[in-house]
Amino acid sequence: MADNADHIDGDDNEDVRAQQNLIKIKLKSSEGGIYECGLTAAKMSDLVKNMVESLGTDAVVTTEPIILGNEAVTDAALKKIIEWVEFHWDDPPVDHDFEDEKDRRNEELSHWDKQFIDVDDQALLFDVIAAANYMDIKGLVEVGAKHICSKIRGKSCQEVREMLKITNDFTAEEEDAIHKENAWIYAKD
Amino acid sequence: MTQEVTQMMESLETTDDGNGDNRQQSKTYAKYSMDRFGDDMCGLILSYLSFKDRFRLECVSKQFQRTVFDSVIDININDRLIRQIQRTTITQTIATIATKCPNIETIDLRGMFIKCEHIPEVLRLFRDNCLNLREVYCNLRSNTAQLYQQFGPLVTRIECNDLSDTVVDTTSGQQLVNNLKTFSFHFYYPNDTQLLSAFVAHNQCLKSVDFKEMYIDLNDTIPEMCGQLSRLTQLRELSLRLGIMNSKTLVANQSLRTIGENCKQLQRLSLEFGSESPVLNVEALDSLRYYCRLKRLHLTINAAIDDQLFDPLRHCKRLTHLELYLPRMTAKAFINCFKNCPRLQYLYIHDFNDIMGAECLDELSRLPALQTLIIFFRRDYDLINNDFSDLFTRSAKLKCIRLHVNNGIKFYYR
Repeated sequence: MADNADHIDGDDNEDVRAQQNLIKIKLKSSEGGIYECGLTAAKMSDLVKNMVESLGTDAVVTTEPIILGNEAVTDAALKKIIEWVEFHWDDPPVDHDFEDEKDRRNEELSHWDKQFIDVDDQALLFDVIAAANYMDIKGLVEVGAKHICSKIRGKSCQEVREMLKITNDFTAEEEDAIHKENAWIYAKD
Repeated sequence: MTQEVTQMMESLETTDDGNGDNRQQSKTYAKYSMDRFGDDMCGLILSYLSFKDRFRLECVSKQFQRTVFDSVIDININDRLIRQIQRTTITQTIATIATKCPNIETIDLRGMFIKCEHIPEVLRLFRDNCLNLREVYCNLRSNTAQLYQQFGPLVTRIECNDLSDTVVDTTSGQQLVNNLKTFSFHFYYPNDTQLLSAFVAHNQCLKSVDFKEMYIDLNDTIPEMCGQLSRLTQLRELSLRLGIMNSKTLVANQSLRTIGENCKQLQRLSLEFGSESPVLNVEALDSLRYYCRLKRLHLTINAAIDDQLFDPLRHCKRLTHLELYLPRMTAKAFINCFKNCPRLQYLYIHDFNDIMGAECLDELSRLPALQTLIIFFRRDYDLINNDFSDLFTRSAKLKCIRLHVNNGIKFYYR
């Protein structure tokens, strides 16, 4: 039969991933805190993944923690990041034959991600996004970015500045000129 | 070895995240202020804004102005947008939009019906300003055929009613749309065979095809049609609605088999069978044994084939996503489903007959890889009296259950 000849290559892969996540590695924040994380989950970070691959898994497991030197990787941010990767490591992978990535961009955040990212402390929120960007965890950067965009959706410029603590460096004239250029957006259809 | 490790880790400490601004600014600005981010990070965050919000928020700051349009890769131009722009001047406004968003690669014009006459102008303005433009999506109808003459090489995705709409030179009757990647159309007629043959020859790079409706008796037409489709060897995604299949056995089975055997890249399949005969449906489904690379499957089946539903799926060893729309399904359908779908991660069930009782959930909880379960209930289903959270204790990988009833949604999370 046609399908018997066809080797299924992913099977082992998934088991290996699950097995590997039982292996714990240590991650060290820029503030010095050391936290454990499953290996497969940690490898959602391309930064960590590259390090593990160049050092070898054994070295990472048995030696000192991986140091995440960027100042955005605070203790609190790293704890959030580990929580996120431990939840998402077994997500279905993006299929590059399709527009999965584009579809996901336009999708609303899952309920879990919404609750995860809805933190009151804006400094922590920005730390998580910046740290995820530094650690190269694209999925988490996306969660943070979508959250911010959903908060400022439909808001006025002034409201956005107040919310995100942004300095307005336009003169009133410059602002007027942009408004005029984008006048069509305010027309009722 | 230890020394090597230490060295590498030290160097990481001083490695920047690739954004020079970032480090400098994070020292200057408060951590709770978005001003702390460099342009790259700011642009990345703003890339999830809606198209209109980008224009609305352009003047928040100079950094917003610099970065807010960079990530506009796709644009959707529809009647509504054109109506809104019409209050000012179309040419000028479209030109402004195109200048502000130079990175546009894809223009979706499928929502342009009434304002079709503006399409050539709109496309010209974007083509002149967006040098990366390479994909145009559109509806093909008699009044947009001339658009194809002008912009044909850019058009990669078309929706139309009849296959004959794809003949864009109506005077010679010869020129066909070509080099499409995605194609969907509504009606297929028995005398379209020749046209389909030419269409397939002109569009060998098609990756996605959607045949929306087929009302006619297809017994004589299916084999020929599927034979043509099987020549599309690049096909990744196919949606077929086979209307009436009557007493001729094995026609659907053999036709679908031809596609499965030849379209080796096919990973996503959507099948709808109009026939109510269990025998014919089971037979047609059996062709799935030739779709061993399938990852996602949607089934709409009107016959009662409960105990034979999951059996053919055992051949699709890579199946991760399954959507079931079966008006006559009962709880029996799921008995031992875990044996046939060991890798299933996503399951969508439209529950027509209130079958989601203890027996059924018990079977579902045995699916070893299931992460997401989505169930649509009938209007009057009483969610309060059913507790699904118990499923998490029994199902190893389950993360999320989403229940829909009467426009309401209920979530469960591990």
